[in-house]
Amino acid sequence: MTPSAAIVATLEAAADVTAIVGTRIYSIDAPDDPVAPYVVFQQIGANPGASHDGPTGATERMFQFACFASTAKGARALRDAVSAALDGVEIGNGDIPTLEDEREFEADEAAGIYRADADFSV
Amino acid sequence: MAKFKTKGLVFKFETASPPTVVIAQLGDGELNLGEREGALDVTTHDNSTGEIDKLDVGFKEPWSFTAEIFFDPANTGHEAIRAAHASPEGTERGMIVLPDTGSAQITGLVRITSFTVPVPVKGALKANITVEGMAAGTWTQ
Repeated sequence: MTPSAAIVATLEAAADVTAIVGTRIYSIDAPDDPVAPYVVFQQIGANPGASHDGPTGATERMFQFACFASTAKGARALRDAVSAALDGVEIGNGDIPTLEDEREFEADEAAGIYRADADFSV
Repeated sequence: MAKFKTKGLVFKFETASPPTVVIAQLGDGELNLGEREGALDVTTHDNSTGEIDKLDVGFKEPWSFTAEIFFDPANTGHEAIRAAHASPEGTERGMIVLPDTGSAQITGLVRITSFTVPVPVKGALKANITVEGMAAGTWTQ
């Protein structure tokens, strides 16, 4: 199971997450005119392990989770639910995500959307 | 001037002479060919040269090798190192083969003087080992 598939499975099984977004958990990008609230996640970096005799097979990856909602409070609540579902929890491929960073953004007033991010190392 | 990458260095460890068992998953390390004993100050009262005269006492420490390994307790090579650290038999031999085109190497009787396992919250399981020569190593280039 790939890390991305394991992440999706974990979030879809998290009641606190699905209570907010249902199945609106998107990898890489959201569909056109997405319905808020929703989550978009993507891998933003990787650090493959290397030894003198070749790759170790242990790669540390960074994932960014962008949580969108119509209010700032809603975006934070969604981010917190995603963090609780992943931080320190073993996912389907055996990895254990670790929360690394959290950020909040100014509202996109034209779209009427707020965003709160969480970064995880997996 | 030739330049060589450091990736591809090989560490071998076992009781056979020469050792042939390659230790897998070897990470960053350092090979020390031995520290020489401090020189003696043999300066006379003549200071006309303005510099101290020294005499090499002729001794140096044997070679040593420190490295991290991506630790797998089930790996036979890793277990041999751990066991040698716990209960050395005095017949263990180590060999370092450099990744240059001529495969320069040093080998000899060794002991494992340190075996530590750092356990950070994140990252791969590793072991930091120190291998010390028990006598002058044999250098081949």
